[in-house]
Amino acid sequence: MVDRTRTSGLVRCFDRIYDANHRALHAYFLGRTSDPEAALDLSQEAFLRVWRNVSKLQGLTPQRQRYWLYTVAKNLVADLYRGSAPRRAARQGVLAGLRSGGNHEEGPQAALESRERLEAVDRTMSKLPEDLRTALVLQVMGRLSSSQIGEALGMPAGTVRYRIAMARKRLAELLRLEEDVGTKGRT
Amino acid sequence: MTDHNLDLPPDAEARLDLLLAEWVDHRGLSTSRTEQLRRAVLATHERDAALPAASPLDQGPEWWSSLFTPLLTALSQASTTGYQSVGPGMEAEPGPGIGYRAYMRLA
Repeated sequence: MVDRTRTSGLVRCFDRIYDANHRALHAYFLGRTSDPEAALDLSQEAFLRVWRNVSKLQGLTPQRQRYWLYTVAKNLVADLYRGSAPRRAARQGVLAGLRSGGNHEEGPQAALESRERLEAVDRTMSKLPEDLRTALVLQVMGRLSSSQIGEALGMPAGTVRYRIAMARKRLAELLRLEEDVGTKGRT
Repeated sequence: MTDHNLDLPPDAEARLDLLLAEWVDHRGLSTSRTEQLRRAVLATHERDAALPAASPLDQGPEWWSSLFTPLLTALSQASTTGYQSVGPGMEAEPGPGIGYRAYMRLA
């Protein structure tokens, strides 16, 4: 009885941490790796570590929990770059379901155009320097403010704002959005 | 920091926002995927927790080698009949990895 109560308390704590951070953490991994599959894989690994340590995390403030989580996240990315990533192959089965298909229903022509636009954004995102991309993705996908991003990455909010502005400028240049606007304005 | 002008024309700004919103919509975690990921984490943990603690039978070749190599070495050095101590140190109380006294009847 006591064990069951304790377990449900741990699950509630895990859920709180998960709900508060999953979107931003996934965005962080996507920003760092520019690889959707790696981002999912790393998100799962990070939250597995949360679950394994949830009794210790229970006593921390949300800020400290976030700090702990991003420290783990940075280490996981470092492991990935060192070529000693967590056993990804063993997790392929679990992740296969997460990766299967999107849930966006469109006509074939619209779907094709949408796919081309998305692939263009994918390509240009991957061309951005990692620090700019990470800040931008944390903002647009992670829905974090500049100060929250700064807290997670350990830098001033002003630097984050600069990186986001720089990332947007580069994206617009690479996607030729400014040229298109100019061309359309002349015609 | 450099003094680049980072402002985008309003039209380009708006188009970029739309593109990014579409990209986030497709590449971000949907509600269903968010829940799937949460369940996958908990299920993986439960599967890990359900595994029994490692027993000697689960140990790899190095563990077995560490267990038997001293014994085989000592046996190869034994030359007399009867119950023999099979090597220095082996008469002592067994270490935590060895559950028996290393005595053996030799022909």
